[in-house]
Amino acid sequence: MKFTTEHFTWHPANAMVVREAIGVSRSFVDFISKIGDARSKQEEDQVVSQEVENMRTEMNHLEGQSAVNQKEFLVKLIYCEMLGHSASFGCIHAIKMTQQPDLLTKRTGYLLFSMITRDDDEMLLLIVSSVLRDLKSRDYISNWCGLTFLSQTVNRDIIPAVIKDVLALSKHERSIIRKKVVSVLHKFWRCDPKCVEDIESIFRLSLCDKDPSVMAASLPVFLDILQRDPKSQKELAPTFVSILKQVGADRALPPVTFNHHNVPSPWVQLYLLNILSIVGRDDPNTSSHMYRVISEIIHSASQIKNNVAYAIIFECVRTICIIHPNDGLLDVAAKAVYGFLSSKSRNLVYMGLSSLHSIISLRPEAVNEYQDVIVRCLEDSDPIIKHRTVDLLCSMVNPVNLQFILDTLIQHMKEMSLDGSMIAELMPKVSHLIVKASMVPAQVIQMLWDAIEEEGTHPDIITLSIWVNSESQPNEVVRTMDLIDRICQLSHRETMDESMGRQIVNALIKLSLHCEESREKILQRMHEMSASRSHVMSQMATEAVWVLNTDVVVDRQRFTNNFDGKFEMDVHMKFLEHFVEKCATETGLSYVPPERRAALRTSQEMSNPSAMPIKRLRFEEYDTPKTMSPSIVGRHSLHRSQSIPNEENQNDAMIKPERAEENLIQGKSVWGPDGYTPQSEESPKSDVLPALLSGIPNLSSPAKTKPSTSFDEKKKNDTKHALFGISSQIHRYPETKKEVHSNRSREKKEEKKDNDANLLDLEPTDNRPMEPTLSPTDAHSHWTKLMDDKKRFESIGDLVVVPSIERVSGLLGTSTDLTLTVATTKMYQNDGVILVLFVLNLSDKDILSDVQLSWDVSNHLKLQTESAEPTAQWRELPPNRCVPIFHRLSMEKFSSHANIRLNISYRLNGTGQPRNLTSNTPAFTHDFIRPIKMTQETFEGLWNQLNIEKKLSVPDSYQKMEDIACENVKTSSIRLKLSALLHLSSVGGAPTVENGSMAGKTLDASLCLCRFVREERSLEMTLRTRDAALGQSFINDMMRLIQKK
Amino acid sequence: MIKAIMIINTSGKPRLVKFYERKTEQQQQALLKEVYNLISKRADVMCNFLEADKLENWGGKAGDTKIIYRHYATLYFIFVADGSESELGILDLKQRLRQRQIQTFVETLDKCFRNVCELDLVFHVDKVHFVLDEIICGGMVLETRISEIFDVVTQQKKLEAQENPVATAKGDIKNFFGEFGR
Repeated sequence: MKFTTEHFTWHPANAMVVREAIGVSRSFVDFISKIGDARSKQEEDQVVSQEVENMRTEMNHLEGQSAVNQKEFLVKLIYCEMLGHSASFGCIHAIKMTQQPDLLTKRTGYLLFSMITRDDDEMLLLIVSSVLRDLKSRDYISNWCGLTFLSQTVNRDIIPAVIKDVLALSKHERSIIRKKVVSVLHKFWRCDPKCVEDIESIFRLSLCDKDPSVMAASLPVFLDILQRDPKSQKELAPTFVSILKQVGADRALPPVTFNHHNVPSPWVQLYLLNILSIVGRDDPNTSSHMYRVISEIIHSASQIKNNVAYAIIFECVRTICIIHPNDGLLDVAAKAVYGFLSSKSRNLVYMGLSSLHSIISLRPEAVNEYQDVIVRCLEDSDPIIKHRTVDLLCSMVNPVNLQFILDTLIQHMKEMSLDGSMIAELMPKVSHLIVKASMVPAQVIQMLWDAIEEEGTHPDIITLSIWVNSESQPNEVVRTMDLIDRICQLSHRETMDESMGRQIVNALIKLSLHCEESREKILQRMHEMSASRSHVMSQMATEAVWVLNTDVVVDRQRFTNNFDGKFEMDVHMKFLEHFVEKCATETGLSYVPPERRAALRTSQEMSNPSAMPIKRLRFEEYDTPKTMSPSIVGRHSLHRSQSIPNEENQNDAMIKPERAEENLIQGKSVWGPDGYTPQSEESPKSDVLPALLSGIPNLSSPAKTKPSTSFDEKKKNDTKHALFGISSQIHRYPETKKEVHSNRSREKKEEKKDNDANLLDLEPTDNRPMEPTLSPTDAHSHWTKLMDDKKRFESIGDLVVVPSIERVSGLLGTSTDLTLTVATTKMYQNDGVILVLFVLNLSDKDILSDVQLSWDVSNHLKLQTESAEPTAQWRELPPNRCVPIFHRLSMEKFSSHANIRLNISYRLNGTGQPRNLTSNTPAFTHDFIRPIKMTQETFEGLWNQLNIEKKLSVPDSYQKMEDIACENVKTSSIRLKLSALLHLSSVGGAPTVENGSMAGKTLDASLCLCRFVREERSLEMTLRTRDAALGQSFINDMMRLIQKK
Repeated sequence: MIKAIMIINTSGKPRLVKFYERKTEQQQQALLKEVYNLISKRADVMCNFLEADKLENWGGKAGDTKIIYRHYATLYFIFVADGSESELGILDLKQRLRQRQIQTFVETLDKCFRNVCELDLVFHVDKVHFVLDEIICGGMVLETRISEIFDVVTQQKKLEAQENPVATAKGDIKNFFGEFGR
């Protein structure tokens, strides 16, 4: 056979010859040659579109044409599909063709059909009859056609229709049919693992089939099952080992048909090795039974020199590295890899590098033998091989070779200067190595210094160099003065990106500590840079000027060499005391930690309401809704003490790009930065909830009530933040240390977000001292308010839109045994639901000790703690003390029977039998739904796109009761009430009682549209979603809610 | 698992495209273009593997998508696979695929054209699909006893030819499949 590299050309004469030779029609040859002649994609598109038009008309006259023509029509459609033009108009024709007796036509019909349909296509239902006929046919060739189609294209809807016939064929006398059945069932299993009862036992039967080809077909199934659940098939391990043994010894399969290139059934071996690696991982016992067979396989494969034998060897090496390690085998593997790395074939070298990667994690010393090879690979002309080698280098670093590897990598980076993507990939690796190394070798510093001395170095390398050089000052290689001069020079560059700019500013601030003489120069440069056109740069430079001008006495020793590994953190930051005091005297204000501000404010309001509001800066991006009570501080601190993301993040979370429908919704979310913004109604109880909520932070989470964080310390921590938050470079080290104090560091992270806000948010000093927890009297008054609230809630139901921080549900359930009381409420945010439990000791003198919480949450729900550990031993609860517990609640799968059960056990005054109290809180679907605003048109458009529809009929009798129950709410519209109740927002103009539509979406942005029409005696509601589970549980919840009224 | 098989000629025209993951026509075309651009830049002496984490339309995790390709005369044979597939195994498979497909029409057509191999694909794209379906099923390689099934097909064809010689395509089909039976 000859191959030429000449391009494929067409001559009319030749075309005729072809036509005669292969029996295709003239029009087909014309079509193909036109496509072949097209010189550009556009031209080709034109030809194909023209042909598609022709075929559309031609399709109507196909009836009665010869079988060959009809089939050719299908092949042309396959062509169009392949070239990117939809051939779905030929769907019906394809189905017709599948009913032809001619085998090739039938198969071509199936082929085209599976090419043009998507899995969710309804057209699939149309072909079921053809498939069933083929499956039921006595002719096994027809069976085989039908099965081949099912093994490619299937969806949940058609499985039930065909499963009976497929299972019947699993006992067919011919092995090719049984083999196909395994593939089809595999496809079904992927669609829905529960489609057939006990499907795994069917696969196990096939694994033991008398025909080896059926056994071979079942191996990919087991591999798939194991990949999803590695622990599931442990008991089959001996079976797999023995099959591999037989295959390897060439006993199981007849050599003539299975032996390929002298390797017995290579793919069976590959699958088995892959399966063994999953089964044997972390399991010394199972692994020990594999060692022998693997070494046999690797031995027999190394006798043969071809790709498939190499493939088996590599699979063996991979398996050896994954299963429980065995020294003997590792030796064999290392030897095999060495052979490949020295091969001339780049493919083998590539594979060798990949395997070496896994070997050295088990056997670091193995690398030494390969050094030459690795260095050679690094200079290879193939970028893929280079890339692999660099990966390998990074994973084999040890103190001895660190300098060499760093040198090599940096050298490599310099050479790659033109290939930006490669440098971007190398950068994090190099910086990771530098951080990992306790000392940066002088040679590396020198090399990087040379790099910034030269012209035309890649910006990323410059950034790296500035970082390394400034951090490792002072050293013998580079004088600080020189470095500062060079960095100042670099800062004049026109093409300076943000990361380099940040690095320059950080470096200069830091270097100013080492070199007093250059301080003026740096300051001047920073002044110049603060006039930069880039906002970010100018901000950074301005902050730098501020830091440089502040005469903070910084202990220089702390900032000498960050790489020497001895860096220590002074968490108390004593050296700042002087500075803080000075600030405090100058301004006459002292720092008040955020979580105490609310209490302060509340007490001020109570003692002297007319004195409000104190003039202060506002830190909010948005106007607060008009109906809100002025409790800004309370809201702020609420966010902080619960680690709720700040407003910006909430807004970001609203725009989730994954869902396409999100973009379709032009409407704006009704839940603004401050939660639900009511549209027109005045709520009768706007004064209660803010007060209630402002109380919550006072009762702050348990960890914070410990008086360990003294007032001054807080103050210092905050100043520290203000100072070093600016310089990310310096800040990075302290932060890692801080992780130990997890509570404090969490606060820090919150505070960092509005750093300057904290600096300015100082309260007058003459306030009464703060208390870590709420005093008994306060707690009691809050409690009374809560109870009051409950009464109100009960009278008006959950129907009122509460214009407050977030929408807050009423008290959902209280349970009490007259000593301990638990009350639950839910707070709804734009991106989540917070479950708040108030645990109150009602007693005046008894201490509740050994308080222990245990949760029992339905499968569908997830509860994430925001404060106390869910199951951990809690602490004591003094008399009259109320403690809130915050949990973030999320729904994994929608269900209408979700419930959260809390069991509290405690003992009175540390003695006696433990007592138990249980509280149940149901979770409703609408807890996870948020209203969205949209126009009527958008609504209509979206309505038609949603495919799951649920209906509910509400008899009039229920509504009347509802109306009576809601009398004290000054609204008469059912829709409004319903929408508030279900967290949906009304769509369109003024609300009417007759009909209307509402819209909402789940927290993960799945749409939920609702429409209702008044019929004679009932209200008919229709709900549409994309998710059947969501629809069902929502409608169930609606029913429950409405019946409750 | 194999995610897609593509055969593209050196000027970028697709000759066979088979996706084992559902993609829209637009996504398929975009991927074809991306893959072709990646591969056509590479010299023949380089290795036959590519790490394709950056292929926009595949999505997958890093290190999970690889391209295994081979250049024969005017054609690139390209397999896109996930991390669990054996690169060398696929390379070997490819070699065999090529042999199977290409030898078919050589005798008849070699006189007319010099690069018959590509023409095979052009005129019998459906049959090439059938061959593939036997070797690879749902992205898994099941290359056992292809001969048996094609023996069967050949038999059936013979019967049909006796009964109704006109309706059957010419003897080339027998020839085509007969080749696989060997």
